[in-house]
Amino acid sequence: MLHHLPDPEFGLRALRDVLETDGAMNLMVYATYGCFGVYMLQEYCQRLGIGHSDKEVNDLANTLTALPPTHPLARLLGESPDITSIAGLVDALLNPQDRAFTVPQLFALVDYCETRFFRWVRQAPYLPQCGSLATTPHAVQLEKLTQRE
Amino acid sequence: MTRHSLILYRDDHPGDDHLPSFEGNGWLAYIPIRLHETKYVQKSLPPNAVAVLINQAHSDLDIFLPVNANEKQIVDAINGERTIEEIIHHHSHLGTKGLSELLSQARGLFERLYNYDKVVFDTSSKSGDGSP
Repeated sequence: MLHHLPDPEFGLRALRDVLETDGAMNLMVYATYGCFGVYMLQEYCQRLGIGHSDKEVNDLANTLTALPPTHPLARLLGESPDITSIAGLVDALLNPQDRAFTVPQLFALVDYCETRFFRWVRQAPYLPQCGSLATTPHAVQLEKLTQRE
Repeated sequence: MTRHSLILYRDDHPGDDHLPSFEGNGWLAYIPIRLHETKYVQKSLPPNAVAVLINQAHSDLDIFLPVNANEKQIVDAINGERTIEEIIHHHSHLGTKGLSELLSQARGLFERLYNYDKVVFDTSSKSGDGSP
């Protein structure tokens, strides 16, 4: 839950310091672009001053049913078990401390905290040679980009 | 994607990165391990494919790996104990291809299997020169 810390850099460095020299850690942080709909709704909740009471949270859950299916959050509501529960909804939309990372920002965090990237747990979504991008006119240009790009 | 999940080391981690490499012959000593969320799909197949390998943990539906009959035999021989070299030798008795052609095919296949999250490798027994 580094992304819910006020200082994720401090948190990762602390984890790094207790990691065995020959050990490895599995880290998860939220992704900026995929969570775009979450951050739209976080801003919405802040503007309305929605709090954590049962009534406010239930009202919020009911309001979300009115989201159009094309809203960036709608897909997440349909797919992510994290935010389909009341507790998950509070965590996703009403958490005052939430920082997502782009890939370059994540590599900067890794470098800053004196850690070394080994691999993505599931790497195919990050590789331009996998998936439909590999058959597009941009495939050759995409393959020339570094992993950090 | 809504989250990034990654494996990290300390920056003073000893030794190399243990990242699989398909240069040289060291890869032949790797032991491929199929990821449990990988499965075959055998419907609506592309031309020349006898199956498509998918990883059910992927949310992107365009990430799938078609395999032909020869490749499927190799994938089927992965049991988490055999090295790639042993799999290739096992497979070479089944087909009519020469060993060098088989090695070339296997190198490309195992690299794709790794990139597409179908297998990981136990590289701990990697020999010095990996000579077959």
